[in-house]
Amino acid sequence: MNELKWEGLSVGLASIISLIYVWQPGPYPMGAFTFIAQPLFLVAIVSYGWKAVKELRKRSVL
Amino acid sequence: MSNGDEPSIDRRDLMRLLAGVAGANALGAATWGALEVLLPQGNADTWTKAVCRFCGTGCGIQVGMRAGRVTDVRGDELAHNAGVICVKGSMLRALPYVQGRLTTPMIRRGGKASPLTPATWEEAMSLVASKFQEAIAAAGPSSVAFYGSGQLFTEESYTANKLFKAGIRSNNVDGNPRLCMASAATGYTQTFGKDEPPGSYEDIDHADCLFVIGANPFHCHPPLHERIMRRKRLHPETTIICVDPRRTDTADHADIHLAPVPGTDLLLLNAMAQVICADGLVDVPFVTRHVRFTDGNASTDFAAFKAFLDANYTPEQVSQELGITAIDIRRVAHRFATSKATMSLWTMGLNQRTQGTALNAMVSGLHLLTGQFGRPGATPFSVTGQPNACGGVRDTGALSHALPNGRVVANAKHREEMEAIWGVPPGTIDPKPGLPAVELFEALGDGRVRAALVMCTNPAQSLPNSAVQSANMAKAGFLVVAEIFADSETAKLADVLLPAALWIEKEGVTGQGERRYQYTPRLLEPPGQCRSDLAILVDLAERLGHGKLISARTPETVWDEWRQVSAHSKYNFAGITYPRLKELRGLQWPCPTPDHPGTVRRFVEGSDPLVHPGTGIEFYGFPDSKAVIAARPYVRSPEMPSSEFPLQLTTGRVVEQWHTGTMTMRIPELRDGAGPARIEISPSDADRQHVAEGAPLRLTSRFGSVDGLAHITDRCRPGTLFAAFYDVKLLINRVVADHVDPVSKEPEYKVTAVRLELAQS
Amino acid sequence: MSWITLVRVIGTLTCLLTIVGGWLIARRNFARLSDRPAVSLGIATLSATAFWKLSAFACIAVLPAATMAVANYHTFVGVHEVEACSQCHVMRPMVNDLHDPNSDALAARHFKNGYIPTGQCYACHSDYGFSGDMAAKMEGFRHLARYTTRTYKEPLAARTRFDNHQCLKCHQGKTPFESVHVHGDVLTRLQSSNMSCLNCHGRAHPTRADRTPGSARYSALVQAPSFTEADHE
Repeated sequence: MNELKWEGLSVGLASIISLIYVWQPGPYPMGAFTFIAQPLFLVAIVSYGWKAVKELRKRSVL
Repeated sequence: MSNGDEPSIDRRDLMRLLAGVAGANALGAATWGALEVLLPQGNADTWTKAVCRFCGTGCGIQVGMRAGRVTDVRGDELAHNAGVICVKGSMLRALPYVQGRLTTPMIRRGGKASPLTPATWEEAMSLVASKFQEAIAAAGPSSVAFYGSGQLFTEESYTANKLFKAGIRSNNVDGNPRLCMASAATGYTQTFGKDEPPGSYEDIDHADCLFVIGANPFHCHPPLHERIMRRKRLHPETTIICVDPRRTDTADHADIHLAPVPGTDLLLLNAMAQVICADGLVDVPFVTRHVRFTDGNASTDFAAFKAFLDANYTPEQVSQELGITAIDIRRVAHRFATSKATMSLWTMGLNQRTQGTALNAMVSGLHLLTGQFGRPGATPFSVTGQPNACGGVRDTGALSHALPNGRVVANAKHREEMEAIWGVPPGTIDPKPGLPAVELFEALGDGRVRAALVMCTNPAQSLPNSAVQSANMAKAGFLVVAEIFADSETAKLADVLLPAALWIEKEGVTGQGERRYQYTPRLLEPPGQCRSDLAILVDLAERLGHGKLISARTPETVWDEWRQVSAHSKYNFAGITYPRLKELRGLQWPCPTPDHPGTVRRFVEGSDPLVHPGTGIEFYGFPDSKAVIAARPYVRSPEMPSSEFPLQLTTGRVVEQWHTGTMTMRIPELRDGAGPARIEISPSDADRQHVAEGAPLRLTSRFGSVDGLAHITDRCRPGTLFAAFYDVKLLINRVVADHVDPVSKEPEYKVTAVRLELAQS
Repeated sequence: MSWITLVRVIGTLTCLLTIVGGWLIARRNFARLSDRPAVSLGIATLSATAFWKLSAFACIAVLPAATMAVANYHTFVGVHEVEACSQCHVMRPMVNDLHDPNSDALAARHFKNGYIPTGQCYACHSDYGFSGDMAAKMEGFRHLARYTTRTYKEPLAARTRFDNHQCLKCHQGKTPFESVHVHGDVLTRLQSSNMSCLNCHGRAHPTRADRTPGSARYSALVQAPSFTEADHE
């Protein structure tokens, strides 16, 4: 993989939301965490994982 | 910001980041969308407000339906019962689907011994009409009769009453409210000049003393009991007094339980009055302003009333016969008189008595003596047994002595008024009162009444002295029964059976115990060929040539006619229209105009629109605007224990079962929950007669005998037996005496002298 | 140290590390990284590629997963507390009525008699948390989505049926419940939630009518609650 630009920025943004939620667990932070941060995390993890698996396959590790 | 080897984070990356966020949002939104669509929707798609089919509490319910079927029934949180119903109401979901519905008319074609066979409506109704016409031609209008029910809709009872009294001209119109509420009606009318409770269920929420006598609301009006318990929870200083020969579940939840000998409790009420008068607990200003005393014949005064009580009704004088100590009598009298607000609640224990009228009037009398009236929580409240005895029968005057809105047949002016209102020639209404229930069925047996239409009730099982009355029905010239089952004890004796619609298979209005009229919608098609009782009556009217008189033929048109009739009286509910009933959780009358909110406290200025301003409390039922306290001498019941019949039987209901069980014994949870009916006997009586639990017994009275199994329970007062009347395997009314109150003609179900033997099994 | 403090400490740690690490990884050109051993970690040396790829794994997979796990403490455990429920103003009628000694609603009665030591909402609504069925959790998320996007209508109505097990788990087996005859009549229906306990025992919370904006009681019911955490212990 060349870069994890989007993934890195995404998890950063999602973590900002999560940090707010961890300290102020009201309905709006909960909503932002559940419906924005979590999907963002998941998509970033999946995207990263896809890139990682692709590279490992390329190098015949997997 | 670029640094040679490092990839720069520029605006495009931020756009991609935002795109990613948008994508994540979309994912989140898709999840949300899936949740909206996939989540189960509970067990019903629509919820419609309606009214429970069972007791006189008249609970508001919500009927849940899915795909055209009733799937659930809940309490309606906005109705007077605040969402509380009972186990029977909870099982209403099963009621439209019980097995064995009668769905076609049936005719006994070959005489009394032949079986009932299916027929068309045309065959059945033309036979009914011709038999009725035959009887009228041969023996006059009074040879045909109508026996109705506190479970018909108001529109139906009103139409039947009008058809028979103003069309056919027979006053032999009576119904099963004669068996349950007649004494309440006469008690209130003799006291206030008008029938129906002056207070509301809401008074329970304000009472500091609840005097529950001759009632077992835990079993028979559970949501009212729950409301009492609610008051107690929120206001623990409230005192609950329960007067009942049995230690019922209601007594278990009371603070004071007094167990009188059955048939003697007028001694308690008179003794309480004696204590109140002797100990200076009378509300003198109230009495002076609002009460007139009589001795039953002529007006007297307070001094005479007090002298009457002092002569024979001191606590010490009555204690022995009553079975309650003098100390307890005084304690209860003081509590009743001095609490901030006292509410009495009573039902069949006082109504179904040879002194029912006196008992009812005396409870109201205690309230008047002590000024426990007209304030929140202070009221004498007669609890109603059936869902529509008040609105349907008492208010419409569908009883043999009555005319609509508190009028009576025997009063010429009342007859003239109704003839004018109904647009029939003067002199149409027969001046002679007809026959009340017990006598009506006797007349059916001996041929004075030749043809009768019985609707929505089961007198062969519910009348006292039922074996004799069943024989009368079997002998009847022509008995027509509108029923939902072909196998009720009464249906089995019919010459013509008409299949009737049930509960939400027809629409109509019911009036429950607190003067509240409520609307039940039609939510289901009646099965087979069933028709509403209104449709049956309209058809009969047409065939008997009274089509013009019975011009209102739909529930709403009948209702509109009836409410406009009421505007000519103090039972004025002209403002209770169908649209308002459909929108609101019922309305309490008087309610004279469409914008009136209904009346919580009758006779009280500000609440009752018929009270003249400036009067405060006005008992407008009498010309002098005063209420009446009459001296009520205690008359011993004819069914006191004797050597031949040493025990006393009292009857009643249990929570899972409604009346003769035709409906509730077909619902498995209720049938199995109640179990078979038993003869309840106290341990000491069981010991004395060597009766074991479950032993087969024979119960015998002067009237008949019945076999049943014993259940030993210390709820029974020694000397007293109890049985409920829901089970065809224990037709307890065979032994029950049919002495009636001389004024109300209501039978004394609560006191029958019996003897007990071990049956040969 | 309470769970909440632990959540905050660990959550702050993982979040800050992810924010910083994510930023650094976003700026890394992986193609240009050297394979020569460069970074020493005591017993091993890592090439730049290895270091950054491991860091990527940590910052993009492991730390976010940890953050989600830790943050979800609030979602699944923090909601046990009454304070959590009262954060949404539409829940305030229920919370305020709970604390009202003059209310006869079931929630208020349970609170008044003191048999539930903490988390009085959760005691009866325990299917929102870790235990209980998926339908209740999904219903909870649906409510969250509706509330945060303001696409709800008051008065609220839950679509799922209330699971009577939440009543029976305390009441069944105890004498007051077992001694009531009618419970036995319909026990199977109660246990399968086919029949509501509220049919005989009345409503649990203020009526929908009271919770409708504009009703007489509405403004009093949605007042910010004035209790403290100690009131629920």
